[in-house]
Amino acid sequence: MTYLVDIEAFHGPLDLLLFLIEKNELNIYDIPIAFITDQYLQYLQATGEFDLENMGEFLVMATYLLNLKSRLLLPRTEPNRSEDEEEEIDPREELVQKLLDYKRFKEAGEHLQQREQGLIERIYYREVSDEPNRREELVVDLSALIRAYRTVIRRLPSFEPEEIIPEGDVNVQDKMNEIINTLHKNKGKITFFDLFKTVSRRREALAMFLALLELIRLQKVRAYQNTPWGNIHLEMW
Amino acid sequence: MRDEVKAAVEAILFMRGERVGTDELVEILDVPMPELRDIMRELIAEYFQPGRGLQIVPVDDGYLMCTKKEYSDILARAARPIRRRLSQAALETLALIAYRQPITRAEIEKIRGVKVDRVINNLLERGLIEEVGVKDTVGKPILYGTTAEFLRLYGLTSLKDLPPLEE
Repeated sequence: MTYLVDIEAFHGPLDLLLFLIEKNELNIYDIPIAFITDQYLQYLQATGEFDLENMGEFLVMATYLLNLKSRLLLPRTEPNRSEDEEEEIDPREELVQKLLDYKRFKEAGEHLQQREQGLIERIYYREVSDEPNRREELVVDLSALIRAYRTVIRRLPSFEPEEIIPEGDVNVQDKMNEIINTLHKNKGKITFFDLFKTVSRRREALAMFLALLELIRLQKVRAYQNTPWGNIHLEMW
Repeated sequence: MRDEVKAAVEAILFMRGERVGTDELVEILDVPMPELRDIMRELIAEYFQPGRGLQIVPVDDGYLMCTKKEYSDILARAARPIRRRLSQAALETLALIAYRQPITRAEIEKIRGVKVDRVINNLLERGLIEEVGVKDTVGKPILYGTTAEFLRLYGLTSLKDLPPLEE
């Protein structure tokens, strides 16, 4: 075989397998594994240069197919097997499931493309912006922060049991450090609500909120939304 | 008074051109929720009349002003062309995220059988998907979901508009 197959034309091993199944008009629920494995390997061999970066996934599938093929060659039923166990799981089941799953989303992707092009009846939104990238960020104003804070507070118990004497006031400076540490742990980004997830008391929530405001004022942290009324994201400057 | 509120809501929905939540409308217009809902019912009915190209659709406790489906042929011709089409790999990944969200990168890769780092970054950059949280498992992997921009691009009022997946 002299021609080269452009393996990159296939979006992964499942795509190539699906193509081979359709090309040979095979029944996806009853794939002749030996046949398809040979076909698959021929395609890989015809690829010319091996680019490991892109080929790795194709090779993993090749190994899987070869393994499957050998399992199918082994005698299927052992003589001592009782009747109940007769209904053995087809070793191809997993592969079939994977292929069906993949096919489903491949088709869903095609459907999206048709919608986008207006080939399927659809609604249109008003074209609001001239900008090529509408992902401009909105700097969060104080009222949005307060609204989010109120939401947090509502989830917390409204009073603290009296027997618990606060072990000194919650320190805002400590909370500032805590926020910075949390941000570091989360690659410099966290949502407002995730930040408050660990908070269980109102006093603590207040200290956390004040600490956050201070950090924003000091321009150590910035708060933004991707959409008006969207989630508030916090990020290190 | 009532007519003024109705006109104002219409103007807001036109201006925003995306879903506006009822909570936001109540706050902006300073009307009680039941009254807003009443007014919206009337407004929706008015737009429902033939001879109108627009409609107002209730979506996830909010409202969206958009075009009627009947005119999608014509509008496809009127729409601004998309600058860069998504690759097929990107489309498949986007569809997967749309149907299975919130979903982690590893879960996507398991179904697609390939690495998706580059595709995910591309979709993030275009604002079609976003990080929506982290999964509560080992390593706290990031969860992805689709955005309002996704709905806009594909003419969906909400995710419920996506057709059921093929069996």
